[in-house]
Amino acid sequence: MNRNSTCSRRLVFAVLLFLTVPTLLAGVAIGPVHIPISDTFSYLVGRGVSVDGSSSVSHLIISQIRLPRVLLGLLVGCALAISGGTMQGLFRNPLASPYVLGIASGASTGASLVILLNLRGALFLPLGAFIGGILAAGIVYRLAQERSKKTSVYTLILAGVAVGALFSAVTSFTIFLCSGSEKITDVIFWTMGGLGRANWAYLHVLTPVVALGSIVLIAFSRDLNALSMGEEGAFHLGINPETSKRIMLGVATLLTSSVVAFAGTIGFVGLIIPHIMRLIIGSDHRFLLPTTAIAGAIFLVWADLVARTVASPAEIPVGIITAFLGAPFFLYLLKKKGARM
Amino acid sequence: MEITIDGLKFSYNDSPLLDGIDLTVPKGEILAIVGPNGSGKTTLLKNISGILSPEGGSVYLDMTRLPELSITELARYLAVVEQEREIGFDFTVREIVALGRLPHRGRFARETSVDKQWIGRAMELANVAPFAERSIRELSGGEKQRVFLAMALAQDPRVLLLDEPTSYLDINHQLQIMEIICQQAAAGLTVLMVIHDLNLAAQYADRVAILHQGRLLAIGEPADALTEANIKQAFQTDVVVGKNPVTNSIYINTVPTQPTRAASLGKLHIICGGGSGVPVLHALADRFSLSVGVVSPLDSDFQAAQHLGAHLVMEAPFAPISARAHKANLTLMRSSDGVIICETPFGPGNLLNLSAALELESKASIYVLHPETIERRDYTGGQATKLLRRLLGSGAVPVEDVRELKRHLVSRYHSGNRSLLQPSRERALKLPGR
Repeated sequence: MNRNSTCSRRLVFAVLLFLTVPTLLAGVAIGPVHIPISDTFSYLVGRGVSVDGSSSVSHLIISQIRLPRVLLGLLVGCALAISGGTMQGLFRNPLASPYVLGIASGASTGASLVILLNLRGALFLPLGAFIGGILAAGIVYRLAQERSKKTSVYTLILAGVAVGALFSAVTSFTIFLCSGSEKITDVIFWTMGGLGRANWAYLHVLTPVVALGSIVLIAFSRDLNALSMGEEGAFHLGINPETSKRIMLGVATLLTSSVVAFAGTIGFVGLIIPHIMRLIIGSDHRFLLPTTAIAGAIFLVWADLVARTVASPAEIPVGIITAFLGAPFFLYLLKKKGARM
Repeated sequence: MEITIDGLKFSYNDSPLLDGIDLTVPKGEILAIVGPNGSGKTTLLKNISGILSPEGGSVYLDMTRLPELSITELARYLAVVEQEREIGFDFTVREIVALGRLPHRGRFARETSVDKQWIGRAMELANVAPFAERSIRELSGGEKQRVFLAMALAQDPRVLLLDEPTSYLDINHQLQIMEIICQQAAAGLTVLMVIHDLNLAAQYADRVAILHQGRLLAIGEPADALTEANIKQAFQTDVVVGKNPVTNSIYINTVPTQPTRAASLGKLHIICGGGSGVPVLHALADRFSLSVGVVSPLDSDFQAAQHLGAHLVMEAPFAPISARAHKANLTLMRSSDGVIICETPFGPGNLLNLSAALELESKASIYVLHPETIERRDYTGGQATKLLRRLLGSGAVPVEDVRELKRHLVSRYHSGNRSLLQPSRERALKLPGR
């Protein structure tokens, strides 16, 4: 039985890993301008060995628009899902998401301020959002630190709610100040999240952050398992709960803030993907976090594909699609497996 | 591994909780720590497990001071089973038990075959292997606690600390857990457990320490530490400490506080023995002054009578009733307002109690409980039966039920017939319907 469950975990992992290939191909091939799979394939494999003029246009679309967008989707989905899984494990609460420390509200405030102040420049918006997210999480973390230098998870959650509300108020005020101008659309679109701004510069920044952060979180997945026993329980298993918590909170915050900075606050991926994977393969975080990361990446690329094709040539914000796709599937699993989370 | 605690002090918000504890638990011993709520038991355990750091004094595992060990090293030597743990997620039993191997494994190392062996062994020992793949959340309290014990055993510890491991378990699961712990101790595991149940402590611990107001009130083998006086001092409770005839360990029974006595309605003398007097004594003690004779100190009737403050005539165990005791018994009977003969087995040793009743002048104030069963409890070859029949023939009152008797005696008193020795017109008290 046990061997079976380990087997099925490996199977799930292998299937997910394999699915990234068609996901990548579909993400690049499908769009307002149809690009044949063969072209996509030849570009991805042969990298720009163009033969005639039509395919060089295709290659331009692939290299400058589609591929960066799909890759950004993979990175963002991976980071949000693995951070969400980590937060749920850390807080021992299935309702935790990557935004539990107020990162989304903080980032929105940062981004809306950049838009309000009319700071033009490719990296100003991400930088503002990143700083806002880190700032919010930092305040929450400081508030939750007790005199004994320990961090209480309950205070973290409550402080996250309160600080989030405060930053949301600032954002709302910014929107109020923007009213009547085009900026208001920018702010609203930013908060709904999207991969439309993807470019290679973003990817150069984000790839090492997401890769490194994910590796650290996976390395600490056994600490998450131990922390399921409570903090004293983890201590008795040889884990320093305070250190582990700090590292995981820090890395998850960095990951989340980074991807939010480039893609806005895309909801539901970080909440629902870890849940779904938990229902499928169980709660052992050593398996859960890697599979969650891959599943999140795949899910976001497909959600983005739907977002940009369903009302083509218009684009729906991807956050709406993630909710539309994720929530019903989640409810279905919940109903089928029972509330055993 | 030996635990040594040297002058341990700990206070919480400036009020001292532990005030100089010295204690050594040698390898393979089971030490139970008992004490009233708030006496600092759990605090002591947390100081030993490294969760809390003492303010004064030290804890040593063998010769190493606790702070000199890293958290991982500590977890290799010492495992803890707590009272109750809430598991956040849906882990399987095996996954929980496998956590016990964490301190023996590097961050990136996979489960080795040694790990797998330990996990399997621990699950066998704690008898959780049959539901290894079930979710921890589906298990009962007793099963869950065995899973946590299995996790602790998978740690391959030298020291096991338990904080009230059996508090929420039924009697069967309590014993299962204790038996597993005993096996492990016999194999060299040092066990220190905080436990509420004094009888479990007495039965399973090699030594018992009573913690009271942050100090050790007593420490020693169960019979030496768990004395009535110590328990009274620590728990403010009257208990009777006896010996369990089956297990030979001591057992502790709580004793209800003395019933508030109404004014005595008269004096009654009880002839009993072999436990036959216990219900009678308890039924009558609140309204009557009681005396009992002749019984031996080994008899439970003796202990009940003593507890209820009855006047006693006693004789050495297994000795025939001496002339002196017999005389004292007679004197008590004569000064009583009534004599009750319980459903006692009679043998050569106590036959004299029955013949004493025959010497009384007024047989009408003698009440005989269940005389019809005398033949079954007559070990004198018919002599006791003969004596009892003579008693009944000369006016003694047969009684079916002790409560009926009590009602009769009380109403008799209130009808103004103060002396129960007055002959009654009622010849027998019968249960309704007979």
